[in-house]
Amino acid sequence: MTTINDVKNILRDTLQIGDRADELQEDTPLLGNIPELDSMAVAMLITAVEEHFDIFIDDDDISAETFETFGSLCNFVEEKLSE
Amino acid sequence: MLNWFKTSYAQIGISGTIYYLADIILRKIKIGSIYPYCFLSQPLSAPAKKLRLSKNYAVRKIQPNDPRLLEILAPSICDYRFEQKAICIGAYKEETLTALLWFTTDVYHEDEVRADFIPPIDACWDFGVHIEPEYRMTRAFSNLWGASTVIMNDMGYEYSLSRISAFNHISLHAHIRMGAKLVAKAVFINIGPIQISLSNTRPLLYISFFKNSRPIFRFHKNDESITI
Repeated sequence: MTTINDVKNILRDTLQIGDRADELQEDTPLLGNIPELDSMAVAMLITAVEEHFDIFIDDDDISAETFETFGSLCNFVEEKLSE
Repeated sequence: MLNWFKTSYAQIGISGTIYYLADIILRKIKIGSIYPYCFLSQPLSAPAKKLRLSKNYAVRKIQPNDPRLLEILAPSICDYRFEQKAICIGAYKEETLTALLWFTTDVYHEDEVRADFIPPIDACWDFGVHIEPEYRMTRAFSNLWGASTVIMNDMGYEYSLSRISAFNHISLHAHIRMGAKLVAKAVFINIGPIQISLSNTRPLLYISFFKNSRPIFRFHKNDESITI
């Protein structure tokens, strides 16, 4: 639950999406649904996740599938935390 | 229709919505088009501080004869840009060209409308960003931009100017999130062979009747930030 809330807050702050972050559910699409998530925002988001959770994300770990839904992003973070 | 108007108004404001409607009509009846531009000034050091650059990407200037460049852009486009003495910088991952962007350090000859843009002496002009589709959700662009800022900084440029369509509010806000400031606006109205440009920076009004008649916009170091 904490991870989900933390990821939500990171999305809110990084993408500056305000209250729209509160509406994010596990199956909410990110790609194509949040226009703010562009190529530069992805990098800023990854950096923010690394700093917040103190994890290292390799380039080969991420792909479009990582950002497909809010749930897929949270799952990705939890997998990295369990490594 | 009302919902469309409300959404458009929220995203690009009243003037943007009017231009957008006028552009649709002009294109529909095939007599013209409208290009509203926002001019942004981006510090070349700002985003690199917020991003961790990856060692998997090698960022370097692209040579005009690089076959990987010619696979992405038509030779005529590359020739036109290199003839302007533009610099092309690419991000390579294992020698695959994943993303590229262009800078000019003198005058930028706009190819969408008839206009020339001249950055101040300590600034360059960036344009033509391209990211290969499979690398759009990766660190390719952030590495490209981060390393490009260092390359241009080393050449003595402190910031980079660019123009963005005022219709593209997402890109506009993305630039502002990266630290860019809006320094000027202009709209180019094309009707048949005539182009009318209106701007809040000089030339405030310019009517062009011929292909070679182009307004020249000079930007200055201390251009103030304006509201969107």
